[in-house]
Amino acid sequence: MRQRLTALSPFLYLLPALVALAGVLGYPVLDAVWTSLKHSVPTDPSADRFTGLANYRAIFGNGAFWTALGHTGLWALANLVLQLTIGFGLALLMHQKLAGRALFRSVVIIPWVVPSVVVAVIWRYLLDPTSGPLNQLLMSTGLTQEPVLWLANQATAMPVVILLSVWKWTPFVAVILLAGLQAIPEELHEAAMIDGAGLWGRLLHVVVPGIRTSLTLASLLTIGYSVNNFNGIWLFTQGGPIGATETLTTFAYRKAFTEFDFGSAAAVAVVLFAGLFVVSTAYFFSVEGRKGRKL
Amino acid sequence: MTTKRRLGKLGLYGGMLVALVVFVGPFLYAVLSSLKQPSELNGVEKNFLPGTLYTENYTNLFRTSNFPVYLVNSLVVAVVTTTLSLLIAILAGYALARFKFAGNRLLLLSVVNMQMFPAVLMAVPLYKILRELDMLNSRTGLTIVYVTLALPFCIWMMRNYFLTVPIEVEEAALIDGCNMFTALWRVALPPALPGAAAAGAFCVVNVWDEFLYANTFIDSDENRTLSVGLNSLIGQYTTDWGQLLAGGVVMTIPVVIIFAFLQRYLTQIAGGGVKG
Amino acid sequence: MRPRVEGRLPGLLQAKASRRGFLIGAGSIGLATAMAGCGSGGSGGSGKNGTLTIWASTTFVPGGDSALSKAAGEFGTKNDVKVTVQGFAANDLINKITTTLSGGGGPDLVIVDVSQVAQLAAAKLLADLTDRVTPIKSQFFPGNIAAATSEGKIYAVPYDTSNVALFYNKKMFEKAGISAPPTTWDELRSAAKELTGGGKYGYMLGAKGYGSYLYWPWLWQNGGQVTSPDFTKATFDSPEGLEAWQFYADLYLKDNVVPPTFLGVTDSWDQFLQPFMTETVAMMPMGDFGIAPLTKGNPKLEYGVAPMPKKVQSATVLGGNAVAVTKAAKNADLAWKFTSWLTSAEQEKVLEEGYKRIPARTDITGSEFAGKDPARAVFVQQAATAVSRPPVPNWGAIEWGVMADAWDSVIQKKKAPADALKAAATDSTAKLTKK
Repeated sequence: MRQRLTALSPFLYLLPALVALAGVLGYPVLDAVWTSLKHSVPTDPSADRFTGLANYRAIFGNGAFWTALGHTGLWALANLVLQLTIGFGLALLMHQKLAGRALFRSVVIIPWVVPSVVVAVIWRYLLDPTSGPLNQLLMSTGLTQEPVLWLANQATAMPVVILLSVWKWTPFVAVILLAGLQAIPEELHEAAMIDGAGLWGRLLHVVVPGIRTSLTLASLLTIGYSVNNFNGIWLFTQGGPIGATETLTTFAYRKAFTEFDFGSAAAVAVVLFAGLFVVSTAYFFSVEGRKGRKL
Repeated sequence: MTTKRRLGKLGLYGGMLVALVVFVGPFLYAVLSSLKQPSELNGVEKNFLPGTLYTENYTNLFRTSNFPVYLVNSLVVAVVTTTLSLLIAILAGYALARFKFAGNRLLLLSVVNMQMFPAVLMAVPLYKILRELDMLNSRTGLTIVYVTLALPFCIWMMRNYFLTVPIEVEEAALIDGCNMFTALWRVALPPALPGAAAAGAFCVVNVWDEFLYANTFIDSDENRTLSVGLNSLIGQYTTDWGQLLAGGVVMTIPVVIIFAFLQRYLTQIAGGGVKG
Repeated sequence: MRPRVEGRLPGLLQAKASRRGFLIGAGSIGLATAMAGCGSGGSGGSGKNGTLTIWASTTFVPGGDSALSKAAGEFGTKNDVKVTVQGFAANDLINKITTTLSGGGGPDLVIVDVSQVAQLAAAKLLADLTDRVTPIKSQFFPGNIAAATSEGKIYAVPYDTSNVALFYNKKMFEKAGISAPPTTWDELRSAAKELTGGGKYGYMLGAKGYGSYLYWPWLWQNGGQVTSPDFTKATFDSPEGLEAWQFYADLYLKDNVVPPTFLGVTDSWDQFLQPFMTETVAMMPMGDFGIAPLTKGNPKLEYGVAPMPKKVQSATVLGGNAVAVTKAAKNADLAWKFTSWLTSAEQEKVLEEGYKRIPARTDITGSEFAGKDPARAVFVQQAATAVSRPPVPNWGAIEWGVMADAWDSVIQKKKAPADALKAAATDSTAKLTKK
């Protein structure tokens, strides 16, 4: 059938998508890269001038940037490990032929479909140190004598926002892994059983290799979403207390919208994007490496 | 053996219960709390569960705030965004799956990478573009942005789905005199519809969730969407938890319903058509 | 013709395809109804003489109908001007104003917190109103005028004024045998100790920016100053400042008269007044904006309001909002006409009846509104002497950034009070001199 096609036709199909992507994604990305090379303060356009790598030098020389980078790494890693392990367990549960499976699958994904703003409202209410039910519960059962300041305490803020992010995104990871589980042919399990493999053996030799692609995809998406996750931190702590939860996204946002230093903010975002670009390109080639192989 | 199996089953049901408590419990408790009176919510009365079924938080939400307007706006933007994204993504995904051309893989790589750019920073350039187009503070402008943001994922999804559709059927259709374009809609698309459903759900969830751009591009109350609308109910001096929780519940229900319908295709929504 | 398709095409899907068709149909109907539009905050008049857009925080425009929208509508009808009022979440308003105005769009007028006027003025987003305001300057409290003045030019007209006074729980005072609210630092400390015990506490503090905001009264009461007169150097780490800071922090660190939940007061005044409302705390420093939520949240609460205690002198911190004309205003005269009308004596009723707030006009002193409520009387009395915070462009970054972090590091016991304050002063000076 391919010989029937002109060289032009694929581009006709792609045209609407290309126009939209170029205009609404491509241009802003280039604009951001360009902005990162300028001194750019939106409130004073006349002061715009090209400064080369000055913004990059400034952020690399800023201790707060490195702290935020460290927090970003910790945040992404913790999210990755927790979401994949808990998500795997959840996927196995969703995969079992148990009574009420359809209902279970429908409701257990609620955290993922609840909008971030609503997640923030719900949890800020639950965790509120002065009137929140969670503290009331803990104190009335005598587990704690004093209210726990989940989001206000420097020591607990980061673990708590990580757990909240895990709460929201784990069902999503579970669903990806479930796709992988469903694709494993039943025969493989049967063959393994005949070989006398127990539950663990099957898990190790059939399930894990079977969902390798899903695992890779889930890892990639989790890293991408976590690193770029702004709402999940900003709506809870705004990067506080005392910078305990400041990641590169909140750092960039603060640079842009409280200090109105668009140049530095752009530089931070470009650094962030460059890192993610490497990760996702590596993934692309590892999965798409062999021609015709599907993602 | 049977006792062992029974124990295993019990363990699984136990696991399900734990998962439900952890993942659904907080949301259910929020639904219950949205039925509490103000004095129960602010801690003057320490009731863990609502003492009475107090529905005023909901009536207030629909009577004294512009919440109904936000709801309609979100629905309109979601429907239009989903329709447009799907149409464009079906065409592009099909081209990527079926045509050999220079730059195919590069294009795909760019599409995958485009999802990785920090949203925070695109707000300003996008703002400038919308201003040029005179589309600030309009649902049209917001829809254009949302369509584009959803496209990479939708294109990738549709491409992967079209790859699973056997090409022979289309070839038969072509021999029967269909052209490529007709073959796409008549032959290739029906088996790939689960992918479209999944991509559509993804669009809806995105529109429902998005806050930053909706906040940056929309100025007037009559064009606000739900996320920003709910956020605007948070006061400087007072936090009306009852109204906020009620708003959150109302906001979440439509998405949960959509996903309950699509439960069978759930795995594709997240998996981008991953098969093993 | 339709060739048979290999692969499953479950019934559900076909149903869904048609359901989608239905959705699209429903969507277009929805679109049509939505396009019919719903009224946003007040408009009036035919627009024959122009249009005005006003942005304010949700404090004034909580969605739906607000007193401000109604007033604006009246103005519109009278002058044949189309007036639109928009509300934004308070923590969002300044960002929104800045990005929109920088982008060439935005409203004709904004109503913002007085401490933010200088920032917007420095960003060249506001019209210089010096010539227009100077003739009527004396009608407003001097502190509010000072807050609206940046580098010698006036950029806004004071709208409402607020300040901080001491709320005390009458029942708890009676029970502890304390006859009158404290008037000095030492009295406050000993009363707070007296009132603490059995899960109850004597005094309330806040974290983050609430902590830095409430430090200024202590500093001034001790004779200290926030900055040098020319606003180029932070001077709050002077000996007077250090002493005040130490006393303030020790209420929690040493005297333990503060409920530990205060560390969680990071987001709203609601969290701040919650312990007082539930009678867990006997005293709190709070603005007049605390009266309404207290009345609403716990109508049975018996409390009184007293002026802030003094040391060398009495002092409290000034807040409130001001009306400014932006650089986007196409018709500056019309924008000014509205501003002077809204802040006039006749329109005081909008603030009084609509929001229970105190107009920043001097004629409010001794008025019927001021005397109607003994709690409010204290705030009106303090309005004339309340001190405004330095009108510097980076004030937000100092009060809610540097100082908020310094205070948090003290109450979370990460740094010694004196060290934290000195470091904060150094950082603030850098912010003051940064152009």
